Amino acid sequence: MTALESTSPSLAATSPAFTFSASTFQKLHPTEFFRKFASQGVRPDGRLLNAFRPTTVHYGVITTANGSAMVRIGGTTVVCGVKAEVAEPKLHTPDHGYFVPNVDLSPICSGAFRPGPPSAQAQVVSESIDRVLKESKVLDLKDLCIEEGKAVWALWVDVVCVSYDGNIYDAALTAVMAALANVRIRKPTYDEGVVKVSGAEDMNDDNSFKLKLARTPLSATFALFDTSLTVLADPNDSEESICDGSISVTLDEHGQLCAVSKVGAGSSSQSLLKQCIDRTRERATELRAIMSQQQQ
Amino acid sequence: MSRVELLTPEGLRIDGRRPAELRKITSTTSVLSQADGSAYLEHGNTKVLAAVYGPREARRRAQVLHDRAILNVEFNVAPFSTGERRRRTKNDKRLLEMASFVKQTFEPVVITSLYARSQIDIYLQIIQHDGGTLQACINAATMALIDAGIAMTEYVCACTAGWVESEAAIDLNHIEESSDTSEVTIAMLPKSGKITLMQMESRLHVDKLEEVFTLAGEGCKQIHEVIDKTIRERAEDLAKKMQ
Amino acid sequence: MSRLDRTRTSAHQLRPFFSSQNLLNRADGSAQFDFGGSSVLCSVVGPAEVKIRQEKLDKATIEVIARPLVGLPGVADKARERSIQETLEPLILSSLHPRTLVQIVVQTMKDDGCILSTAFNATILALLDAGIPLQSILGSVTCMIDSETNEILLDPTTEELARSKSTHVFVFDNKTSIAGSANKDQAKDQDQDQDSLEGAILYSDSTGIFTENEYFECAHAGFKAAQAVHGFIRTAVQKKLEKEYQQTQA
Repeated sequence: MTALESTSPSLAATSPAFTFSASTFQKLHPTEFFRKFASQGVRPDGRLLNAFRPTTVHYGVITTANGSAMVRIGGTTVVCGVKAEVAEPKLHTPDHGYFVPNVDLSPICSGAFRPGPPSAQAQVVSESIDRVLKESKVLDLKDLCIEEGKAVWALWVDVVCVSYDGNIYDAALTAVMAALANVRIRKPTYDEGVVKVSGAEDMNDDNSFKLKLARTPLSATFALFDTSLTVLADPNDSEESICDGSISVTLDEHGQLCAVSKVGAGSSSQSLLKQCIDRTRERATELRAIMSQQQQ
Repeated sequence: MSRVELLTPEGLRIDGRRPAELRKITSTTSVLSQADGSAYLEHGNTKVLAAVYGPREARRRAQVLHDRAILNVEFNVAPFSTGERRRRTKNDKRLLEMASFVKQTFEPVVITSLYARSQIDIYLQIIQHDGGTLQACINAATMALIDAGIAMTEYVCACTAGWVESEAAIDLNHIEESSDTSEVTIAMLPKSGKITLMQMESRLHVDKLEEVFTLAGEGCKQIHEVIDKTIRERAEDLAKKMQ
Repeated sequence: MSRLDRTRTSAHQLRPFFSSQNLLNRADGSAQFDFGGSSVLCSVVGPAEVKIRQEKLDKATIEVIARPLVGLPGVADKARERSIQETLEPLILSSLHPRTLVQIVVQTMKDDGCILSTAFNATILALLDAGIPLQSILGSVTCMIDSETNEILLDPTTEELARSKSTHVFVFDNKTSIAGSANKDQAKDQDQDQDSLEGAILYSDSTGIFTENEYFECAHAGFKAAQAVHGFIRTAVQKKLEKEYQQTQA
């Protein structure tokens, strides 16, 4: 890319010879820089406006976890590990197990995150995933019961972001669903207050079980640029920082919606939301193909 | 806990290695797009990711040193990395201690006087734990620092060795570590042969120390070769791209 | 036609609104908004001095703090803060007060469902009370789809929510919805008639299991109900101004 003429008209008028290199221009006026690309229907990384970044899913990457998956969406990489522990059931639901999703955005994944307690962003993503899993009843919590009122399985669903480049919600949700599909738990035996989980022999269908997932919700996120006039599928980190809002659509494999959220960026018409839902359908199908390919 | 047979009668270890055999090392650098330097390292089933940010502006002004850079090391253990899930352990004393070991290891090796008034952050993420996390972290941090182009006098390579039943063994895995074997971790500058860290927390007879220590030193040299190969390959790759 | 909530007869009926403004002496603006048994108190301080770390050079920093009914704020409250903050940011004319802070505290007083919607409505009343310049006002309504009857119920209570198949929170502003033709920007590339009929969505948050049609039906029902909320807010402000005017005259 060669030098770009300064776009600010006042500057150009006073000193016509004043030019920046493209990268300087990008640093000084990130929004204007992006607008130039968007007006041509492309993005600085070469994608079309409605294109998603290449996505890969790998199952069973962590041997210390009961189920795990690594998901890469462009420059964003997350690892999800599910650990099952025997726990006491909650008082008001004696025959229900429970699961606790948690997303960790540690400083390793981006310079923007500080060490210390989880950031607001990490908490919001954890909460969204928790709500999608609970409200769309992905797991039947009764399946996680070992002995009513005494012992249940607690699933700790931990997502660690290894590299952050935007769109953490899609990456984390995909990783969580892939890891849950990958979970294998040893069959426990309950005997007079003691739960025994069999020893170290290899897990097979006789001594262990897989989770029954009622559905697999997958999402697509769109960023809204210039108060929702331009819609960007799968925004990366730099695009997220200049956009004022986003639309996330979550769908299950039967085409039922599991969550729709639209935050920020002024009002957007319902036809825009329709477009996003349609695009999500295509994207979810692609994603499911990638996942089933890897699972074998 | 029932005592596990750590050595077979043929003298092989629980994972089939000979006593002086390292686990398979897999390593790559520049794995993260966001960090200035990064590395991913596997010692067998122990998997560690290191990222280096900086030299950059110090976060707290009070910390700034006018003649050299400050090193900051942060540990993060993925909750699913160990056999038992660890509850929220951001300020776990053990982790803080590990972080301070790594910091002290690198302080004399990184030429901090070149980056006065700045801060270099080394973030370490343990993805999977199977013994020897300290050695893996130091080795990964070395690679990440080199990847970030931060001046160092030499490589730092770390290796553990211990006394397993009746023999000195190198690069202990989790099972060997957790059944009362004594374990020594050393970090060494392989060219000059200097030691920057030596850490031992368990009982070991003085007579045996020499043997264990030499074995760990040998391990450091081997690890150096492996790491150096990865770094050189990477550098050649970059040189090719620049042409 | 019968609802679990015995006080109402129709599925699209909202609970009685109640609001009062200027309740807190030490805040620049405050308001309480009730949807029947749900009540939220909101205070606004600003434009005030901002910490250097939060300072924005070209606009005011909007900070939202959500406090739960009991106990310490949790993850759900953080999510609520985010929703309110990001929705208000484009609505507040923040470039008029650069390098300042507008702090909004949202305190749940009574919880009988639809807390997020109640909080949105309380916030906008408090902002009006504080005299923070706004682009438009907003109105929020929650609806749900009953798992047994598949009926859309507006403004459900906690009891009704327990039977929901899906819940939907909507926020509409009064600028793009009262007259679609007034918004020329959007009318250019969108179908104008459709816009004026349906109302543009400012904020939407839906979870559960539902179809695309159900979603847009809910949006439609929510939009109609939001008109009532807009009207109520307008009357509330009008009454308050009349009262203040009389006081200055006296």
